[in-house]
Amino acid sequence: MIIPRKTSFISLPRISVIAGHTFTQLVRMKVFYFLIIFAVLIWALKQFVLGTFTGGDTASEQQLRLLKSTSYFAMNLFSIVMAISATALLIPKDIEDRTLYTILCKPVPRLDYLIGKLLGVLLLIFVSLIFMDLLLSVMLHYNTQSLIASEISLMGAGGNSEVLQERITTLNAHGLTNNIHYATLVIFFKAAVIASVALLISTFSTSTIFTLILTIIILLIGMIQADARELILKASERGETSIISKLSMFIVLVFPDFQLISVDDGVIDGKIVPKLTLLKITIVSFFYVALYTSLSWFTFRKKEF
Amino acid sequence: MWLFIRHFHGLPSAKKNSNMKKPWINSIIILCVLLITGYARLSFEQKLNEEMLELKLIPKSYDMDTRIALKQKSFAAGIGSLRPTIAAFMNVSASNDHSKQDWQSLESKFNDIVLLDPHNPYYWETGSWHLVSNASASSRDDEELPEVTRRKLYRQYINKGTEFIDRGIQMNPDSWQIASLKAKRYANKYRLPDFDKAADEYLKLSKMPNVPSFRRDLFKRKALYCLAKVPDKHQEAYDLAYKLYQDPNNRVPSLLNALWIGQSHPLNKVKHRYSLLDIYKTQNRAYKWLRVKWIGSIRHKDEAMYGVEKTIRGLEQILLIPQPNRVFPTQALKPMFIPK
Repeated sequence: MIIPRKTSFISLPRISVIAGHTFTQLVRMKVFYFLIIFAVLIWALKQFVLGTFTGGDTASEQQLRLLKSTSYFAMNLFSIVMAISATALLIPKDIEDRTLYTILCKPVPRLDYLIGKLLGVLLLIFVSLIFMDLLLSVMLHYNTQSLIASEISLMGAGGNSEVLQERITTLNAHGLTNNIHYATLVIFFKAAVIASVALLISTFSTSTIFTLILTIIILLIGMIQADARELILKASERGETSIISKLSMFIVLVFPDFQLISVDDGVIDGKIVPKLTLLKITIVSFFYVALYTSLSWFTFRKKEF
Repeated sequence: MWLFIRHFHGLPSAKKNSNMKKPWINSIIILCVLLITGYARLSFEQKLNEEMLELKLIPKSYDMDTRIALKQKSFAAGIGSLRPTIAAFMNVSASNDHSKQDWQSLESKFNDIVLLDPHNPYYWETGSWHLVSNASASSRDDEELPEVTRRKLYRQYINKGTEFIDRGIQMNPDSWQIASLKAKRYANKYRLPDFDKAADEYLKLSKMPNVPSFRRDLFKRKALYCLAKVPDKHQEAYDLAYKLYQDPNNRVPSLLNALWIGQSHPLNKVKHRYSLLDIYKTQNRAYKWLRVKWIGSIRHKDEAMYGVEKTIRGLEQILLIPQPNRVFPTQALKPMFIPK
């Protein structure tokens, strides 16, 4: 009597094989060329824009702010585009290449397949963000030190030591701190949530364009979700129940709040990200990823191809 | 909607598939799960949102007026970290307006810039400087305009600059850097100064909680220098000079001069009359600093100088300052060059 081998529900080796394959597949699509564009962008910024901030008491830290804001913008752009497009492509491409059939005919649970695919995309985004964070850190450190050196040479001889100390503290607050890496980590979390949303949509849609459009719409709604929540709270304080407040309630309950998964604006301003707040953002992000991945599996579990 | 989704992802039609209700059931289950989990996370997210707003990690949402003012930029600015980048590039563009002296465009750009990056003191400082100093002076000196219009525009731009700073203070009530712009604006003797208001602003600044201690002392002394320029506030100026003098860290030359002038004012009620040596420690130092003060006041003509002339004259006699170096020579100086 042949006893069939029992397949475990989740297997890390299986997931890692699928993730590794997805990562290789995406690397072959030459997505890392964006990193060259990023490096050129940072170099051009330093050469042509940073020097335009002159005059005023706070001119020198503007250079650091602009360096951070442009880098974070590029990181956001890359990670969002990659999260949406790569994830939206995953299942349709596997169907088109008929890879999906060869995987699913083996004892591979569909949850493993979905998690593996998602992790492959996230690994690619993570590696890219590490590179960009490294480049930003080097540039930021170099620029902060050179600005401090110029402040010392300007004010050092006979200048007020307290003013000099204040300037150095301000520049260091805008320079390389752990907050820079925290902001990059939160950008990664945001990309992970967007990718899991795209994964959910791609499980019931076989059209890549539909997945792309719907994910972008959800992303945009998620960016103004805080406004909807505020509207509900104000309406409930006044005891109002209008159609707009009901619609806002629906938006708040169904869509993720992407504004919460973002600290880069604060870090650009030189604000500190407390570890507890970072932990809360991590919890929210993991919750969203887990929720959307579970729902993706729910839709995908008995889908026929 | 469902037909639309089915059209896109090519779900089997009812005729072909007996399980036609299944996708509906799946969708309803997904929606229910999203609604339930959404309800569960609502209060946590609201608290986290408030916490992040308090820490200034996320910007406040734009109201409808701001969205209208920013037009398409508000949409682009919704993407995290893009706001400061757009603001920075608009600042570069505004500096071109400065070169072209296109003040209307510059004003409009700075109004947008501060909406995009409202917590950055640099833009409030640069924007107010352009309006108060550059746009006003350029309009005043524009010879193509009639005299009345020039004067009107001069005042108008200074007022616009002041309102711009007020908006910055309103949006950043904790920022002493932005609050100090208002004091500087009123203390600017070349742009419709109001030293009384400037003194008030400096005193308010010195009481702000997050000001570094050395700046707190500096703001108090600046309040004194502004009060000294208000004709009716001689008693308040003296009282403040006397109070600040009690702290040895404040005994900079300008404060010592203010105390000497204050206690020499005939109408002031003097708490304790210090001698010249009490205040300046040596006669040489007294002469040096009072001389600087006197020469400066002749140039600016903005302050009453009670007792200074008499003290300088006396010191010049005592210290035997050579006649050519004296502020008040007692003998007619020999001409250095005799024309033929």
